[in-house]
Amino acid sequence: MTPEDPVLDRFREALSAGRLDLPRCTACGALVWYPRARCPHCMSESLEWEALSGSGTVHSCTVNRRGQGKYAGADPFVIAYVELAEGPRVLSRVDGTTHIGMPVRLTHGLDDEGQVRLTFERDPDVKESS
Amino acid sequence: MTRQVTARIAGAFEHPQRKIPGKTVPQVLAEVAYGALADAGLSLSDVDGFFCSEVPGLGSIAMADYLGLDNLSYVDVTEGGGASYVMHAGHAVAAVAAGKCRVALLAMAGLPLSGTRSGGGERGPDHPYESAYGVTVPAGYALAAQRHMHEYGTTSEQLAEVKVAAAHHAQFNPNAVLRKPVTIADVVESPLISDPLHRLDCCITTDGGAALVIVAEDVARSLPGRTVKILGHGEAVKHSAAGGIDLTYTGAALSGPRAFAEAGLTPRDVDYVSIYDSFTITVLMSLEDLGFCEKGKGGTFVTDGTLQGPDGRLPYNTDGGGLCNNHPDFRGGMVRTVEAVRQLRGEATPEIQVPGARIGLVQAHGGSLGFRTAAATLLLGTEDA
Repeated sequence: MTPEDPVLDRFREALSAGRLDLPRCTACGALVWYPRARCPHCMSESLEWEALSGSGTVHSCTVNRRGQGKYAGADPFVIAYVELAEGPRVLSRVDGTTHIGMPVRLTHGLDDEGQVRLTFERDPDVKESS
Repeated sequence: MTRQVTARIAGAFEHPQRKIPGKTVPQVLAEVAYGALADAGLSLSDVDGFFCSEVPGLGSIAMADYLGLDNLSYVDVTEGGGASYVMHAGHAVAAVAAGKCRVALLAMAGLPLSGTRSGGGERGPDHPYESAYGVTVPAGYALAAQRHMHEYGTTSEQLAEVKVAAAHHAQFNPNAVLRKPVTIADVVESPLISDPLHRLDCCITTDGGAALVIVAEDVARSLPGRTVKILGHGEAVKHSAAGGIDLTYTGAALSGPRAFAEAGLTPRDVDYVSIYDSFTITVLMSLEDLGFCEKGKGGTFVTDGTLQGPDGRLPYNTDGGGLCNNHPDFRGGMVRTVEAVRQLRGEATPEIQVPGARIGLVQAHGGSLGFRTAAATLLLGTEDA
C-alpha cells in the first residue's frame, strides 16, 4: 500500500485540472521543486501553492533512443530540463525536435496512468532569445 | 619529504572474472575479501573494521557472519552508490585515527549479468516526480553532457578521446572485457544511445567484485612492504538543489579540493588518476572539477593522448576502466581504487605502468550527474611519498 502523500496529491490535482502549481515558502519566498512539505531553504512549514505560467525554456535535453522497461517500445523520446519562467529547472518531456534555449509551454502534466510527467511543446508565441 | 599518515592500503584484490555464473554474491564477496587479506598478509582474525554497502542481508551483519569476521569493533554501511567504497576508505582512515579499528576490510560484489541485482533501497521522495519519464542511466548523464557542450563547446570527438585512452589501456589487460583499441571515429560513429552519448561513450556491465584492506600505521610497519599511503580524502553530496540544478559540474568540485587540502597537495603533484568512468562525460567533467584544467576546457585537455599511459601528461584508468575492463554491480569506485594501488606499487601491466608514479588520485561518483550524486576523492601515495 502506498502511504498517503497529500503534497503529491495536491500537485497532481492541479495538473489534472491543467495547472502547474508549486509550493512557495511564505517565510523565505522560495519556489520549491520538487514539491515537499517543508521548505528546504529555511525549514519553514508555511508553504502556499502558487499557480505558475506553464512557460519555460529548454535548459538541457537528450533524445533517449533506448527506452527501457515499459518505455522500451516508446523510443525515441525527448527528456529535458525545462527552466520554468518562474525559475525552477524541472524534469520534462518535450514533444518534437528540441534544442537548448527553445521556448516551451506545458501541454500535459500527467501520463495515461496519472503519474507526474510534465510534457512541453515549442511555444510558437515566444521568440527565441539568442 | 616522507609524510606521516594515519593509515595505508595494505591489500587489494579485483576478482579476475567479468561474468560469474554458478556463484552467489556472498561467495564472490568472500573471494575478493579473502583475496585482499591474503594480499595484505593478514588473516580474518586481524579484521576489526568492516565497511560495505548493499551487500546481502541486513546492513553488514549477515556478511560479517558469512565471512567469519569475529572481532569487529567498527562497521560502516555508508551508501553512496558507486562512490561508496571511496567514501568507505576515508571513513576507515577516520575510524583508525579515532582508535576504533586497526584493520579495516572494504568489500563489494555483484552479479548483474547473472541475474542478481543489488537492491537500490527504498524509493526516494523524488520518485513520484521523476519516474514516469523513461529516464535511463545514459539519459541522465546525457543531460549533463548536452549542457556541458552548450556552455563550453565540448564536442563528441573530445569525449571520444576518453574512450580511446581506456581502450588503449585495456588491450594490455587480459581480464578486460573490451580489449580492442578504438579510434575517435569508432566512438562517434557508434549508435547514439541518448544524445550526445554513443554506445562507446558508455561503460560496460559486469559481474565481479573487489576488496581493500586499510590498516593503521603500526600494522603497516609490521607488513612486508607494498603498502600505499592514504594522503587525503574528501566527499560531498551534490543534488538537484530544489529546482536549481547545475548540470555543468560534478561533486568532484567539492570533494576534490577537500582531499587536496587534507593531503597538502595540488593537481600538479598527481602522476596518475583513476576516475569512475560511468560515461566519457563523467571523466571529462571530473578532470575539470578536480583542477587538472580550467573549468570548461576539459575537451581540449583530453585531446592528443593526455590520458594515455604510460607517457601521457595524466594517465588514467590504466586497467581499461569501466569503459573497457570492469564495472561490477554498476559500481565503479572500488575497482578504480584497486588500479590506483597497482600503479603506486609499480604492479600495473608493464606496458602502461606509469614510470615513477608517486601520487595517485581516485575519483568516484554515485547516483547520476543528471540528478543527484555522492562524490568522493582519495589521494594516495607510495611508501616514500
